[in-house]
Amino acid sequence: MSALASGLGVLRFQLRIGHVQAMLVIALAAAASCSPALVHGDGRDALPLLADLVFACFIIAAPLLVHGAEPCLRGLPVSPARLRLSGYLAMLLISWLGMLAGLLQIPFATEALRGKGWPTFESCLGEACEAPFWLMVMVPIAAVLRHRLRVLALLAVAVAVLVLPDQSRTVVAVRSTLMIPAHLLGWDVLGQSILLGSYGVMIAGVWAVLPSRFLETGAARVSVDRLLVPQLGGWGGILRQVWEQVIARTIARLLAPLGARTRLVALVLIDNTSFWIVLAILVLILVIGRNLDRPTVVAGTLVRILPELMAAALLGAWQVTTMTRRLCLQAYLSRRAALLVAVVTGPLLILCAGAVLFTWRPLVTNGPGVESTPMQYFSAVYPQATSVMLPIGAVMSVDDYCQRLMAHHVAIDPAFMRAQRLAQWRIAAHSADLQVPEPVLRPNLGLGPKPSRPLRGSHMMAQDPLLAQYWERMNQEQELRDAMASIARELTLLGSAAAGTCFLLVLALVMPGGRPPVLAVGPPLLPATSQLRLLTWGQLNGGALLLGSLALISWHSDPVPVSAEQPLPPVPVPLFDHILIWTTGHAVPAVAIIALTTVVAIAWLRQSIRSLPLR
Amino acid sequence: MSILSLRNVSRRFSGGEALSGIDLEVDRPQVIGLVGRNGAGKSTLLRLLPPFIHASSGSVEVLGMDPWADPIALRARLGYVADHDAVPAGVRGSDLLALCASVYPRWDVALIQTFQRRLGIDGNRLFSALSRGQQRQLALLMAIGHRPELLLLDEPAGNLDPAVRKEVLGIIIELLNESGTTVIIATHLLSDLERLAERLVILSHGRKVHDGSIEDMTRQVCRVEVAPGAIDLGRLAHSPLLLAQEPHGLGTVIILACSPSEAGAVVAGLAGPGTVVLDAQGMTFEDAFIYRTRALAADPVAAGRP
Repeated sequence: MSALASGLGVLRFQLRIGHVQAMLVIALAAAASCSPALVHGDGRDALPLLADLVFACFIIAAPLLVHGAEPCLRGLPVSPARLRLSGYLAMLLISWLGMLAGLLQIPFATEALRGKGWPTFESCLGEACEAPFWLMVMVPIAAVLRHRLRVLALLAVAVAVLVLPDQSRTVVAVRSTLMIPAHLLGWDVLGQSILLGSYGVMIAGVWAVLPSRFLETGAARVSVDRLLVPQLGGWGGILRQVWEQVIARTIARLLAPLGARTRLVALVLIDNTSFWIVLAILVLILVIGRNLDRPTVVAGTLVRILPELMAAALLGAWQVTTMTRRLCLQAYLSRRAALLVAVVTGPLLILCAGAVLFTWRPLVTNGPGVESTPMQYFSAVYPQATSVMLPIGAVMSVDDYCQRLMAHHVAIDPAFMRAQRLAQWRIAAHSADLQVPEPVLRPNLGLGPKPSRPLRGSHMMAQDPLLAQYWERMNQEQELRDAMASIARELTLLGSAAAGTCFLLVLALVMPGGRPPVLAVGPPLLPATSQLRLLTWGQLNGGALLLGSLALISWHSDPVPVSAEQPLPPVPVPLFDHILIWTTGHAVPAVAIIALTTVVAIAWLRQSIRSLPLR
Repeated sequence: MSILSLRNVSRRFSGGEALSGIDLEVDRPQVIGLVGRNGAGKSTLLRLLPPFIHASSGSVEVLGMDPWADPIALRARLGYVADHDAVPAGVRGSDLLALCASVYPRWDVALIQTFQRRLGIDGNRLFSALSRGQQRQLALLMAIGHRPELLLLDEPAGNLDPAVRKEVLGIIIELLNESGTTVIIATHLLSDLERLAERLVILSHGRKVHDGSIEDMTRQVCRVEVAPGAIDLGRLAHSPLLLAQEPHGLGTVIILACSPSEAGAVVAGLAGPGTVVLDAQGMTFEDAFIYRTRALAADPVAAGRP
């Protein structure tokens, strides 16, 4: 039997079992990525969103396709390298077919659309080809390498992209580098290797964005969310992660037009085993980090992302609350007692963190006699900060939110668009100065069955056309409120609301000048369907690890020399768009880490902030 | 050509030594039962052969070749049934068989169809929808369709009911008769081995402690009943031949690593010539195995002795 026949057989099997859903996702994502209809017009903002979506789809679906067959082939006379190669070929084939389907729409564009900036074939193709191109470059190399060599290759690539001359290509390379090798590492060792690879990628990515070149040019927006580690799990897993990506990006886009620095805090997939690997890598980075050419920039940048770091820490505090509750329950305390202990513990920790943040003076010194708190420094760093956004329902009124949405013409999704239209209508109604008294005839004040919403006030409408109009508007408004409340609920779920709320409220209360930074807090990638995920106290690992790692890097950097002649360079763009939090760790390392990192972070704060200028 | 040759093979994992100094020669087609308690190293030994893992030391030769020299070519001549099925959701039995047909040069479609009909396996059903027994049967079919020269079975009939086990064993026997395949079965089901295996290899703590026929092993364990007070158990306890002792009525029963005919002399040698042996019997294979391995587990140092 020829190798070709054997290869075709395996390929057919991979396509057969390789998760039809994965292939569908790949094809659809590829088609969407270059579909002019989807990236046209107001949705131009959607272009990067779709690009991200494509990345997410590849991230999630590709391993299913490539590695999904491996368990079945154990013991069969099939080379793993050939297997993976054929899987990737299948994936490329599917993605290119999908892209072709998207591109086929271009000739059918109307003249009017062309005049409005209908994307050209080349622009669509260029955008869409990014992922497959890099896949094609990387796959043959990585597919034939053994596991350990792949890790080395990955690190080598990560280092290599740092020296590429072309800035944009570098960014692309970083994105692709972040994405691809994690797949190629495979989960032939029960997923551990892919975790290892992901951490390698993550560290490489962080390492890649930290050096001064990125900060100086301000052109790089490196999304670390490429590190999302794929999970097996069929439709549910794929859709969930794609959905999470979309949600995360949507929140970012929501906040971006408001003049805010969009920062979704953070981090990192962790489990108990790989934690030590990460720690080892961090130590390595520390060693390398001592030789950074611009340590001052690193330190300055870290200070600028301090809110996120602290949010992560506070998120950890919230996790402590839930963890405490769980431990209490495990210790056979009654539910009430467990809740009581948890309710006391969590806020206590948050208050402690707040106390450190807001009352420890002087932390920032800008010349003799000038002192300020970190919060004052934040307000200087975030001059455009206007309002607190998340969680929407808790901090900002629905009306405000709708108006902001409308004012900035944020194209989000059908639900948001509908809410936006309704908000527009409502504002128009108000502007018409429609003087309608508050409804005094509320139907069914708790007496008898509650009527369904569309019927609200219907018995009055027949009597008075003006009142009928009013009730109609009220119903629509109610619909709007329901829609927004629903969105707020989802975001609240996604954003680990309690931590976000506490943090933001504290900020709002103590912030000098009352202008807290716009901040999207929390791990937006928690599955919306699973509230229990919010109770995963292993998230503590993630936030604390990020905090600790960045702090440690800075700890080993030289103190920032500050003078009026040599101010810190500005940081024009967010350093991280996303860093994902997704942890599955356990209590003991989590507590140990947060304790360690808190100590280090405080020490670091003292060391690095003290010498920063206050603008 | 030697079918299988392991010389002083050891395999270490981070948790310790899984195999230590294993020697095993197979030079003619036969059925070999590989037994031992959980963690004895059975699966590790089998995983050296396709090969999935490297030996830490020693030499391994399978079907006349170094397994790592050309593993793909070797696997084309081997059959392997793992102790668990790792098949993704959405795979049908026919998909798996078609895959095997495409990758094995000598895939016997007629043979598989025959067995498939006989076992009543519906290839159009999802693998996950098959019963556990049918899943194992399908796994076995995947391993024998190319008429392997060496068939490695890691708990092929685990968790199966007796009827299904009988069918699985029937397939193996049939294959043996037709193709002269050498079969190595790692299992805890000793009754299956009694029916099938002509050679028994017992592993304990990664060491080979027995290599011979089942009869040899059974013959070397006997149950001896001695009169009350007739034996100094304390003196006997230090003997490597004592596998177990337990009270029995007014007397004592001791399990010795010797044949029943030797029991009287052994007891007399250990406890003195006046010792009264009331009864000495042989044991079933299962009982003999249990006593033997239990004694080895209690005294790991003894695992190294022949």
